[in-house]
Amino acid sequence: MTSAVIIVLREVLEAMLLICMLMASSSAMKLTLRWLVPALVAGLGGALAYAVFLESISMSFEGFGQEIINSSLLVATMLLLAAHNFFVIRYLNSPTSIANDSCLLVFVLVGAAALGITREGSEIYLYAYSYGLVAGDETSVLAGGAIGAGIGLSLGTFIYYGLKTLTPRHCLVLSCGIALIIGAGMTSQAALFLAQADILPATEPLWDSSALLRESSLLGELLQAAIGYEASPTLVQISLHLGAVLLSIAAMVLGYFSLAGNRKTA
Amino acid sequence: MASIRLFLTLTLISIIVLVTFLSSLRGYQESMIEAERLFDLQLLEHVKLLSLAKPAVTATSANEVFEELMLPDQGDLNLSAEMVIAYQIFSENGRLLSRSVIAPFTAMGPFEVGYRDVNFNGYRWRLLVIRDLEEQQWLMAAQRYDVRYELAESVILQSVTPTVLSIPIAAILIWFIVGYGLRPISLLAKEVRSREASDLSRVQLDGVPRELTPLTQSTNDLLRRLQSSFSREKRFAADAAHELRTPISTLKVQVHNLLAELDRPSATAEELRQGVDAMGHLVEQILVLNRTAPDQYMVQFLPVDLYELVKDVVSAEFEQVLQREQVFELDGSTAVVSGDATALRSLVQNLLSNASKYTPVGGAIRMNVREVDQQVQLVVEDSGPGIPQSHHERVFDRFYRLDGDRNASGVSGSGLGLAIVKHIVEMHGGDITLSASEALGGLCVTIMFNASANDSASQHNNKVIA
Repeated sequence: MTSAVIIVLREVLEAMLLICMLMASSSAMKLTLRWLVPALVAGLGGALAYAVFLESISMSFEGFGQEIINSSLLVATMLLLAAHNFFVIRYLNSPTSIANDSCLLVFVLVGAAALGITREGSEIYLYAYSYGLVAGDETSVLAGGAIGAGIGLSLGTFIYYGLKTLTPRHCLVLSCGIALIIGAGMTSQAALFLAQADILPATEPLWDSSALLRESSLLGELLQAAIGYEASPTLVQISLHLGAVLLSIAAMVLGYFSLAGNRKTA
Repeated sequence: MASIRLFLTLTLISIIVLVTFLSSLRGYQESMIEAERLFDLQLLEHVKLLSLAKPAVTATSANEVFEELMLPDQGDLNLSAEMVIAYQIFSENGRLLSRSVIAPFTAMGPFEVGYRDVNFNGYRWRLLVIRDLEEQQWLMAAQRYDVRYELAESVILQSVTPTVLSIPIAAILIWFIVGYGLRPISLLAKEVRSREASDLSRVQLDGVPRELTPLTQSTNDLLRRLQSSFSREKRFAADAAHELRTPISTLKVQVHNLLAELDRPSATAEELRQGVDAMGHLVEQILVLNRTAPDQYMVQFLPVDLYELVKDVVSAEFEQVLQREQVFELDGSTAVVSGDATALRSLVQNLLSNASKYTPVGGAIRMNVREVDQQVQLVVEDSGPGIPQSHHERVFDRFYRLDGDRNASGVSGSGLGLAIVKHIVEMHGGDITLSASEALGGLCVTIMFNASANDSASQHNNKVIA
């Protein structure tokens, strides 16, 4: 049961952190939360489709289909999070810009949330399917899954209301920070998948902090879910992690200056 | 925080989930450790029993399989065959003396006293090795790890599952309880919402909770201040109009005298007379408006035949229509409403005067009074320029005049006529709508009054008398 709790909690927490941050930032920008409906429908549909076609996905790309699709989903989410940061900074700079940006912003929000739910949902489904139905351990997987999901959803609720207690400006700045960290974590996870698929070179780890915090420990799992903690990262992973951070910062800088021209002409 | 109810339900249920689930998880882990210890003790008990079974052991030959004599009936315990404990008895020199069916021929583990984990028969086992010094033999008992784990977990899950299942029930209960707790707020909102616009009396709710008392008090305080400022405004307008009446009357007489004293007609003096008349009219209208304000009017309604009343007003005001060479038409029949004759007269006067004023010379005015579905309908149509749809709401505001001061007809008005009409309609619980007249092309004012309760009786009487 403990493994079910940890796996489901990790996946739910990862998805909740992303979705609750997006929810809080969209409310801070005075958008309604109606975008959640298409995001949930697309995300759950995507997760189901991913799980159902897993076999053909795994077989594709010379047997590395799963790694490639996973890393693509992660990179796409990171890019959407960078776009989110771009729009947030634009909004902070000039709140009236939301009128023009709202369509694209809603697309970014729906896309990021749907991709997150697809990835985490398919992982939970696969775990529940393989452990629950194949191993015949339904009760413990269901109870463990429910406990993990319950804890994850509760923490998500507190993250959302916690962000909402801040002033809109602080909430948006913090959301940008969270999006940056999640996006960077996702990129290093994607790098790991691509190294497994032999697309990126599998180099020696730069350091090993397992002694300080093991990845398999509860805290290690939670940190991996939240910030993409890796006990023994390779140079490629670190480079891509930093690359994602820089990309997000560049998106924010671009967002800051994108309205400067308009103001001068106005 | 869009909804207090949603916020409270979500956060409360989240706290309950976190506290109960984390404690369940902790309890599960502790219970699993305890269960392990219990199973180890069970192994120890089995080995002890095995050591007591000396006669059986000595009676068997070295390779003879020793059946599970020491175990109670498996069926009684409802355990699967997998739960059977495997054991072996070795002599001091390592020769196998006896073993259970599922135990291998070789030693299950090293000849070292204590508990340890070993692998054989494709499973991981928990092994206990004991050396019986008295009998000079080694006793080994082992139990499958996965079976121990499964059994322990199934027992512990019995206590965890109800906790998990109770959360949705708790969520539903919290949703309704929070809703019930917040009911005074919705009651307060309902009480304020259901009031008439003019009702500024104190909000009084029974059993207002302590948390809502400041809100009720501040609402009442606001209402009190509004009431006093409204009445001050009304008093000022009414008093000012009343005070202006006498000097205006004097002015009128003076202007009349001035005109009489002049040798020849003067356009300026005539304009002065018209101005003074308009001022007198305005003051009268302000007084009517204040008298007919729904919150000011305290009269008892009596049955009034609206058709007769319209006829009276028309005959009194017909001169204005004649002067403008307008065609006037009145249709209808007896229609009794419960109302105040003076106010209704003012209403008809204003409607007729407006129609005549804004209809061009030679135009047409049509009035109709009839009963429609237990209601009395008064329709006034004209062939004037009408009022655009976008202004229909605002023309009832006091001093609101279409296109600023004058409309296409070039007629100036006080801007109070339709406000007075609306007041009187509201006072009678009626309904007024403006539309474009299909027959005449100008404005069509339709007013619906509730028919008087004894209307049908009176109509019947009329017919009988006729």
